Amino acid sequence: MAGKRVREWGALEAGIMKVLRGHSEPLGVKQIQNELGDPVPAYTTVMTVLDRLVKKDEVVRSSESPRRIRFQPARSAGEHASNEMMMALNTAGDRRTALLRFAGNLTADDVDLLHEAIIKPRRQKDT
Amino acid sequence: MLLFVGGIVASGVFFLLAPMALSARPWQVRRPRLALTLWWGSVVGGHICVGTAITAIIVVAVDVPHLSTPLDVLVVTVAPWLGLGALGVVIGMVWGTAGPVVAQHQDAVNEISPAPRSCEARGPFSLVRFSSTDPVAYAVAGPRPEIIISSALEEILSTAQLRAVLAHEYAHLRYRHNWLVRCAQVNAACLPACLPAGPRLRDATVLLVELIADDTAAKQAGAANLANALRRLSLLTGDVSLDLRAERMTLRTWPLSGHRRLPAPVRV
Repeated sequence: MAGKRVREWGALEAGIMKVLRGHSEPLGVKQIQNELGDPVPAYTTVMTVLDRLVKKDEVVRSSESPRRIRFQPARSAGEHASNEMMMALNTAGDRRTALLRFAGNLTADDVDLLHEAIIKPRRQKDT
Repeated sequence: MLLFVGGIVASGVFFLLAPMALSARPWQVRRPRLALTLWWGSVVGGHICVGTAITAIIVVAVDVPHLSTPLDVLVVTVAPWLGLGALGVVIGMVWGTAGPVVAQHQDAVNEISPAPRSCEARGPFSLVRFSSTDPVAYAVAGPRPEIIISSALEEILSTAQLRAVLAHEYAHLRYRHNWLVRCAQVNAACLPACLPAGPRLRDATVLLVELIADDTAAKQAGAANLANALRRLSLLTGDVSLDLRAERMTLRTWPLSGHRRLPAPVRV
């Protein structure tokens, strides 16, 4: 059942991030737990997932006191969407042909050819 | 029969020798438009020669009433069927490959659709601005063409440099470069891996369309503005190809500012 558990973790992470992004102020574990839909996960489960998200730099932990720990997203929803977009752009199956970008479409072979055509003749002329 | 043999030999020249002669030649960096024409001319020529050879052998098979030797019989009987079979395979491959290539492109566009800050209609395309710390600009062709730029790009470039970047992307849209790149991709997928015409045409097309767009932007918005934009992005991203493209602007003279014609849609 490892596959089912992995899927559950992923869904819970996404659910918690959605709750956090829906609020402008940091939230406590109990508040997050109350906002997650049915079935409501256990307090310790939510804590574990939040710890994982903190380690992934998705969530920032702040503690006003040892008993008042609060969590908030590391990036706003807009920044998150842009990051997802850039990751997708850089990992598209064949990004060179996926989109015509101003920068980033040329390969190492292209760089070598440009170097040979532009820099090498200049160096030979100088020597 | 001569036409059949000639067609096969000519297609060999186009598919094998021409790519080898054209590949990685520095002169193409100075004359990218001519290079792109020669590349596509050689591959299209190769396809035409194969088609001519197949047609010729079919005509011979249908038209020749008496055949003198067993070899003639074999060639004229078997070759047309093989040719038709090969043609069927090619059509099937193009049909099967083009769809996924187009879908892959569409998926990439959909996947990276940013949350736009603004979308401004500019005649032939829409200018979409989105928030990001990465300085990017890209052209998306299609029924509703778009040029998409990030907030970071607008922050680091001056107005004149941004115009040069937009002129570059607009050139991609005007000259249908995405269509060329897609055709090159389908061609590479359909040709046998042993033929250099496929992957080399694809790689050459991607490089040359970038250089052609650079040249267009240099003529319209100023070579110095384009070069400065490239250098600023190179400093930020560490992409050495941008520095080389900027250096390339010094290889020739460009129209003076009074002789430039910046297209209205890219005047920001």
